[in-house]
Amino acid sequence: MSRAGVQGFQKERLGQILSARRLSQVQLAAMVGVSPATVSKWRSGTQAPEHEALNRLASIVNVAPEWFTRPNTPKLSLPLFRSNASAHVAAREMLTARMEWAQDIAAALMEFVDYPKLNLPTRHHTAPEEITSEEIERAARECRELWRLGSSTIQDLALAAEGAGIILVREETGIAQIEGLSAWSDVLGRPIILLSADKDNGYRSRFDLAHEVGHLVLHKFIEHPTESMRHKLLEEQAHRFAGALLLPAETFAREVRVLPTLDDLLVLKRRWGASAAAITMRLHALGLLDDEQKIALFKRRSVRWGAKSEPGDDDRIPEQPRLLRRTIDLLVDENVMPLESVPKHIGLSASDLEMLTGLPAGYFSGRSNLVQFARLRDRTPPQKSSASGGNVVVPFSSRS
Amino acid sequence: MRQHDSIPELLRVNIARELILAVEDAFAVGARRAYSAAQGMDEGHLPHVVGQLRHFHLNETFHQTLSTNHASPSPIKGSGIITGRAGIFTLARFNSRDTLWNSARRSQTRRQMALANRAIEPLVQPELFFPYTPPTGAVVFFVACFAGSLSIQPDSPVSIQLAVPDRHLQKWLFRESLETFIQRYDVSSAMQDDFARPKLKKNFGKQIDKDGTTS
Repeated sequence: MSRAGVQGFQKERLGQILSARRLSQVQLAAMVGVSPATVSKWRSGTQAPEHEALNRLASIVNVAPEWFTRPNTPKLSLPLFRSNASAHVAAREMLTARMEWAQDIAAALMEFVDYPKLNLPTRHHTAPEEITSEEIERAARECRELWRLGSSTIQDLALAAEGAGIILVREETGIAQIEGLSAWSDVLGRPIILLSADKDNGYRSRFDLAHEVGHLVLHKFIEHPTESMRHKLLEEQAHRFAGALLLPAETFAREVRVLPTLDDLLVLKRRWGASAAAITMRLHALGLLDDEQKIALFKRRSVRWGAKSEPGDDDRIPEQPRLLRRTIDLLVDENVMPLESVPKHIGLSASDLEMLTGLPAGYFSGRSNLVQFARLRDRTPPQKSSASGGNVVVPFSSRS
Repeated sequence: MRQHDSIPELLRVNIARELILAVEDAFAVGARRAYSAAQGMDEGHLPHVVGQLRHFHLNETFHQTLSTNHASPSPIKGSGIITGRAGIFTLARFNSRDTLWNSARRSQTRRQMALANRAIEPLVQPELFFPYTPPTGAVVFFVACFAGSLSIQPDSPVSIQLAVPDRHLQKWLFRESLETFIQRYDVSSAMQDDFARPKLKKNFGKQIDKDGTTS
């Protein structure tokens, strides 16, 4: 057996998988059964893993061995995170890697399909100081007009965002502190938004999505967006955009009783699909609450409901992405590729693919089981030999 | 009959949302001014004074609103009715008690104006010998409804209604509070469009047939 390293091994892929799985080199080395120095050499490109080691590595990190030989797709634009804290460096790297995988998936599927045309308002600000509150309100209004959402409540913001050509991913990340991130992809010619599903709160998730759309619309051309002071301002602006998009001044303000009680806010929450906290902030932004009134409401909110949750948080099922899922369904239904070949074509494991495309767990095996289930309609008794393919239909025993 | 030919839809298409909101504000302000102006009058005739002043103050604010919103108001003259125009609709107003609208027919001018609504009656009750054709004129009233007692909400209307009478000014072909009606301008979001659908690339199927591959 040859001891030479695998040809075409891409060191960037190793770095990406370490981030995506939140593993250190030392941890990975122990799991693969090699020295940390060896992993370090793989990662720097001075040495490639041998065939056996690559198989072991691939099996541990749950990708196809061949995936390590795929050229790394171009980097996304610098993602904007909800938290820039140094404590979350590893978490941000993990989320960036997951987002790059989403880009890989979307790019691989784009060989066969056209996604909806990108339909976002365009702004060319290079510094956040240029962006006024009025400009944010205008941009949010324009977004609603482009997406044909009218001026009332938005039924499904995820559907609208995907219809506007945004690639949307919503998955459990294990990092509840970072609710979402967004970046632009040159390969796709469109942006990607990744939302954390960890809090499982439909209201917050909608706001997170609106917040990320705000970044995409307002901050595409901002220079040095991660600088501390700048980042804070960008976050405030994205928040204001989210409020304006979900709760447009001209219609929302009509329905508000000034001063509202917390119970008034709960009624508005159900109708408009935004948390009582987000509504309070929006009322403040619109000048319908002054600073003192806002603080008083937040105080009452804490006293009655605690700091983190609100009544009715479970009322709304989080909106789910559809576009990538529908794309896979389309390719399978149109016989472009069989279901079981999709993970292989993309190179990721079925479970990663299911998570990133919003498919239910076990989907790639589940759908083929469904085909097997159709055999139950067959009146002919099952032959033993036919069971070799997978599921076995056990006949009822005779009562005689 | 076209799809948008219903009375509320005709109103929505012809009268701008901004004008509806402006009338709402105008009536609130007019009512407040009237009540304020009547303060100090003798209790014995205070309700009548407030009623009279409401007429004049609401006329003034209504006129101002029509003027600002390019609705061609008729000039203020004596106690005459102020009218405006928005699309096919002639706009006018009157005040009434919240419970019983007995003041509507008191005005000869209003009765005359209501005759135009024969054109839109078929939208509610189709006629055999008078087939519906798209109307070129109709009349709608903004009705400021007051409580009928100065001990209840004396300085503002209890509600403001948009009311379309029949030709005899005896029945209402359509009646709705402005608060409810304003939501009709948001109908475009009633059914959200679903654009989040991928499409197979053009000629993709043909490429497969020709080459036997999908690359």
